Amino acid sequence: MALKAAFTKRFGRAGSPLFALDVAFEAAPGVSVLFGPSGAGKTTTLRCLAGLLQPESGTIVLGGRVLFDAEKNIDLPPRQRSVGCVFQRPALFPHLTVEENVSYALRNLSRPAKERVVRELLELFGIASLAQRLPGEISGGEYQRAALARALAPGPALLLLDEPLAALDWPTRQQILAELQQWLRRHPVPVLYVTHDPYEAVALGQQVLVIERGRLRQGPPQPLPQGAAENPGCHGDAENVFEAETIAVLPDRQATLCRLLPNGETIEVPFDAGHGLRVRIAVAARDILLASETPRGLAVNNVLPGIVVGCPAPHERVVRSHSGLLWRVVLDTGTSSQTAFSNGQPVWLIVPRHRCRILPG
Amino acid sequence: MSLPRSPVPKVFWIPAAILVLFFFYPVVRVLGGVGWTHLQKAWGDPQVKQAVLVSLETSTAATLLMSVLGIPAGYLLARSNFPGRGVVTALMYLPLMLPPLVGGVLLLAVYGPYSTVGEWLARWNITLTGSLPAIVAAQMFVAAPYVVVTARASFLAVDPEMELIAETLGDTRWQAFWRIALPLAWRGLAAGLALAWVRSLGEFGATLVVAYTPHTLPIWLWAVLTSEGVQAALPLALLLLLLGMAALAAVAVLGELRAGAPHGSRPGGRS
Repeated sequence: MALKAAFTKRFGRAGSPLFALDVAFEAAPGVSVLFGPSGAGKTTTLRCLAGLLQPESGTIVLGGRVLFDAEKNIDLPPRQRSVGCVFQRPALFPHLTVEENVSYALRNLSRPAKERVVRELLELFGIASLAQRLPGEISGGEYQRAALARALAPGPALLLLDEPLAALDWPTRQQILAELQQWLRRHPVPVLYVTHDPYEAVALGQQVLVIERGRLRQGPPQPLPQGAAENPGCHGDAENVFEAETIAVLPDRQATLCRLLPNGETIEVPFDAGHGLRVRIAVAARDILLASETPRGLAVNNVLPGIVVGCPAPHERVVRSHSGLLWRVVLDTGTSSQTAFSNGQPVWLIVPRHRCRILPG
Repeated sequence: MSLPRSPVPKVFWIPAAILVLFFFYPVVRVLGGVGWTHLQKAWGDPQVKQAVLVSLETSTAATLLMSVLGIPAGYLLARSNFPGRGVVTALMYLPLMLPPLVGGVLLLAVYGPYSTVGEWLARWNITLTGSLPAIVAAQMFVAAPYVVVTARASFLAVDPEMELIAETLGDTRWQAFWRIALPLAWRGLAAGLALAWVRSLGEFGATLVVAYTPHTLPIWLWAVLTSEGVQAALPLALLLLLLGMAALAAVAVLGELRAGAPHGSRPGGRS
């Protein structure tokens, strides 16, 4: 089920519009990242697709179904489009519990079917224990998980995500993205994902749609526009921070075995951190090594298989480990490695134990 | 829990105290100056009971009508961007600017027995002078702005994004209004309706012009005052005062609820 869209939308007077949007693109099932500066027209594009704004001309076709056709005077209202949305501004209904929010669109389902869908989504996003809480009583990460779960509940044919995780820290973002990827594996629908974070862009997007001053050009995932790598979240000191739980203390090695959450690999961290605790583990991007073949004879315990999913800058890579977690890696600039480790290449992450730190709190 | 240091200059206490005394002293005098037996005698009078009944009936009917007409009008003014919205909004405030007596004169001129509308209504046996519908019309004229203005403010306080999201989740616009906007705005709406009810209950000027009879409580109070003097009118004034205070207490409780409500237009309180 692919999305084909080509439409225009103007704001201001017809003769001299303040802003004119003119986009034409196709999005296959999977994540397409909509990338561009503020005011470029990303949100307007999503709102036109959702039916919340009416374009002046063009067509929007989703899986063969015409959602909008200016010439034929077709403009399906939002409720008939099967489009799930999570917008920038948080919009969980504050008078409804998390469970009521997630089940909001399911009023035509039988009670057991509704309960099953809601339970599955709450469990997928790890917020089942918060079902009876009001939105004002949960954290920012939990809030966005609930908003995502609500958008996914009716089984949308298209998902529009407008910087849904922008306000969250990296480890929380990581976890939510992994949960979203898990859902997408079972429900292959087109997803338009707006982000300013080039790491998110390259890590998530099977294609990157770059939009500038109302014009959208469709292109391959690499490279990102000039300046993208200067994003503050993307420098060489960037840290990988993961939520984890300690699952065993290894006194003979003065180490603790930790499982990265939500369903991640196990890695060893130095010193005795205690058993059965929730912790946050940090590893600097420059402390991780990449290998293109299975490492042998290394005095390192933490070797994780993965795949390169993005190259936001010549010496930077984003690697998705098998569990779906994203790792930022800064390559050694003294080597010729900048030409290696290309997108889609299987690699091994070498994470030295002594470089792993447990963060307070 | 200690309160933060107040930034208000101490001298501001003086005008505030003068105002409070200005309002409160007459109330205390009325409460203290009327004997219990005097009250019992006055409130037992069948004409007073009838006036109370007329006032309660008409003000409640007016409030119901104002909610049906005023809440959608407030929503329209808050959400729709139609040409002339500013003018319509200003017109909604107009009855607040006019002396109620002028309102009564206008109503009489437009809906009175010799007007075109009055003659048309008479065919359906509806008389908008000297009748219960006339009292309701007078009360609505002076009190409806309270409903429209508070409804508009209450809906403006609800993030319109919520209703848009509800539409993407399968709601019609009507359902989004009913399931999202109305529940989120209801405390403000209820406070506005309580204010409108108490304003209708105490309505005098416009009612005096369009319906001297059947007597409402304020009109009967006026009749007693002019024929028997202040002492005879005091128990009725006290009765109106108590009804007004009950409505004020309801508004205050609703306001408290509103202030303490989880109005999550942003992600949760902890992170």
